[in-house]
Amino acid sequence: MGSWILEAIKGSSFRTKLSALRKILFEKSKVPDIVKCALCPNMCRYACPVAIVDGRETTSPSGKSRIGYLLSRNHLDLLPENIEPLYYCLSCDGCYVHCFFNFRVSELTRGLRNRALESGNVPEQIKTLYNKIVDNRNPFGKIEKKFNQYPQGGEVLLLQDCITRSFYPELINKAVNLLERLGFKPFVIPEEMCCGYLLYEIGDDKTFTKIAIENSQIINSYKPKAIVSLCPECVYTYRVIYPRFKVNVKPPVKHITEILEERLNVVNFSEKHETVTIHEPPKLAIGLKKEDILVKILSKIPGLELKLPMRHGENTFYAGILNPLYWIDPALLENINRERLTELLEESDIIVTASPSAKKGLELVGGKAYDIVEFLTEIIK
Amino acid sequence: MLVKEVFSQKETRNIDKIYKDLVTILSPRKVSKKFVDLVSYSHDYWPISLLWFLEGRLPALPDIVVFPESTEDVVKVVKYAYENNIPIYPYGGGTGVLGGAVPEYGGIVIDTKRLRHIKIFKEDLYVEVGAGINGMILETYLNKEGYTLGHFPQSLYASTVGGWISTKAIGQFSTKYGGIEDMLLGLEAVLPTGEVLLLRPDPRAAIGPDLKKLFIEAEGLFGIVTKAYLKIHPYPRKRIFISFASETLEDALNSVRNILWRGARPAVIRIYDKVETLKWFHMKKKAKGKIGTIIILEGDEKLVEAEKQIVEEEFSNAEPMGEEPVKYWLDKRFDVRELPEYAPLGIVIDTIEVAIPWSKAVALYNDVINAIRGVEGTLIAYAHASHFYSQGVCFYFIFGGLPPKGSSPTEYYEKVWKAAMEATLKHGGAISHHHGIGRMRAKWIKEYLGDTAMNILKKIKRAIDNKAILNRGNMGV
Repeated sequence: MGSWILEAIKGSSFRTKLSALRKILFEKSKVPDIVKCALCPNMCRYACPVAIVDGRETTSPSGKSRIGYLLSRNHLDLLPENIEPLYYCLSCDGCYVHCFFNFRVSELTRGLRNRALESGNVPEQIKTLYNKIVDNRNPFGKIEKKFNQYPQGGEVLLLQDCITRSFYPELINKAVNLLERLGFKPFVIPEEMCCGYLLYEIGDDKTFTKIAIENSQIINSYKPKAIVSLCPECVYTYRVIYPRFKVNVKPPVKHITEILEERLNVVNFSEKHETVTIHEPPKLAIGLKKEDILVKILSKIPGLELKLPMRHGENTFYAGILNPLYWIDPALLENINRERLTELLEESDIIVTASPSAKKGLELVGGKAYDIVEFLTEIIK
Repeated sequence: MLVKEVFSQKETRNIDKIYKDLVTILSPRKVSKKFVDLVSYSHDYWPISLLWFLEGRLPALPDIVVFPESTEDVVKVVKYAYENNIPIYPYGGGTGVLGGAVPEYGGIVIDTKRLRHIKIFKEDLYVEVGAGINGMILETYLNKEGYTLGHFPQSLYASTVGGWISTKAIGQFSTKYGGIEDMLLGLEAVLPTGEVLLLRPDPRAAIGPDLKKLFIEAEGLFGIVTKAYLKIHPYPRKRIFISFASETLEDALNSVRNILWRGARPAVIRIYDKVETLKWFHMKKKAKGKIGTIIILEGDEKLVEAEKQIVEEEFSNAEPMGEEPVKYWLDKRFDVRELPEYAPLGIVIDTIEVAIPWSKAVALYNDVINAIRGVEGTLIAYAHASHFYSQGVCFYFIFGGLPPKGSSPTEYYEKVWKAAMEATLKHGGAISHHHGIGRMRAKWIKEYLGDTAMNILKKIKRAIDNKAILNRGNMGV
């Protein structure tokens, strides 16, 4: 409360003043965050891809908190159809960037998703997703393990995220090659499992914690000198979410762009005379606070012209498949990816990103995007 | 259903049949009767309805919500509703603060937010947009192309162009760029019968009465705006920030009036009363007990420099306060945390904006502030003047209070509104400057307009919408 308010209320009656001060001093801090979000006029709507593309009040950031509030006070029954809008979130944290309270709507409503999952009151598609993760340790289904063809013994552990393994296994070799050229000795491990990101998103704390503990034990047993992943969601999960559950992977996982950034002074690039547009994945730009890292790396390439789309930096827009919408409303997710692809193509036909999920999302709607690893493979000396 | 409706006038309808018909006409993705969607469209940002919301009470639930993706979709729904006598409630960003979008009689809510194309005409300096385009997305797009709309309402990040037109919205940079009525070159609207009306974006036309004006601040009574043509401006090349502390409100108002009369048009001018000066000039101890004014000049370098001279001359009787208060305001201007923070404590908060000629400005300010403070339970009452014209000014009053013992929040809220509206009418002021009428102000519209004007408004409504399909029950017409 600004001190000006104390001046401002001087003229009111003693009883009103006393009553208000009592409320402000003793009750204000107890107001749940979800209530404050529910009472906001959606000042972050502009940054929410779901709200903009879906256009529904119910799936807007404050709209979700309003439904969440009514559920939490039992004004609405905890039924699958009532909890469904709370899964209409990409966890891109666009809302966080524009929130004067610094709220993340996905976090505000997570407790309710947790309650719904525990009581079995979730939409069928969420149950399917849950079962896939638990049964296959991969939300995209069972995959053949090919770890034998990758280096198994080294210093830098390269994590193979679920999207890379499922859709772009060739990226693993390229990443190995890139790391070697940067002077590292990379290796992969056979026991790697899903990091649990989507379990966290759908609200299953129990299974998430179990997976986090197992993962940390496996990874830590290899005593890697560094750990790297191509997937911003994986990095965020290991580095930011695991510690919230008192689980730590050592040393902290880095995104491939962070490793590249550290080596920028010693790396030489061949000339590349092209114009490219950059898609900054929200989990990297906002979640990991690396909004300019891709520009920093790519601007070192001689001859390369960089174009930024309308929404960039911390105002970037989502593209990808690693979210509950992929299961609950794939048509909407397709529209979101299409919106982003159109925006990127306005700048250049060549799109560079740093997320296998974004690459897949853009390709699902007919686009072609390069992950930074494959883009750099040919030009890093 | 656990939530309760507060003032629904709902009529009995075969909702399942309407739903099936609409799904056939549109597609399943464009129609919803899910209860969570009905709840979401039961209200807008009318502050008292947010207090009801906390208790699980909602103003009124619609029967169906539709999400058209083209003008043709809107036409299909409106024709269907007209043939079957079902009320329609248009919905944009839901940031209206007077209950104008509340679906009082149930029926169909048409959410326009999927109508969101942007097409820029650089040679002729205007833009064509879908009515549902988000304000900040439009501004971001224009900025990237080297332009600005110059329209910055506090709801910019959440509201839509259609909503701006329907409430006659105005932005923080209005003294230079005007209100939405000054930006609107043309529009497309779907009439209650389903006919499409296109009013072309000519630079000017003297071809009968200007029909665009029928849709500005009509709150969806005469048609659903589906497309708008808006003037744009080259992105300003220079900006200057200045602020002052004047001895009295009258001094500050006189300075601004003289600036405008000399032909200068600063983009932003905000005069704060002594209470609000404490908030925005908190870093300037010398401003305490004075009237703070912040000013932003922007545009072509030479013009801006000339305007700066005029501003400094006219504020020569005030103390210059530098750029800091302006920068602070720029940083905080979209921070609307008061209501979300204090409403859950039972504190009733709202804003009331009115317009008044210069000659009566100070008297009106004093009377409205005293009238609000005179209502038992009022904790704070303060104001700023933020939109200026050669003829007068808009005052924006902010109040907060606790209902006295034995009184409900709604009773306290209505008492404050009554006091403020009566004080405004006593001085001959306009009872709304840019928020509109909605359901909250409807009881004073007749007194402001007079019988003849009110009857004409009702006759126009009947002529265009003989079945009262659009926004049934709104504005008292």
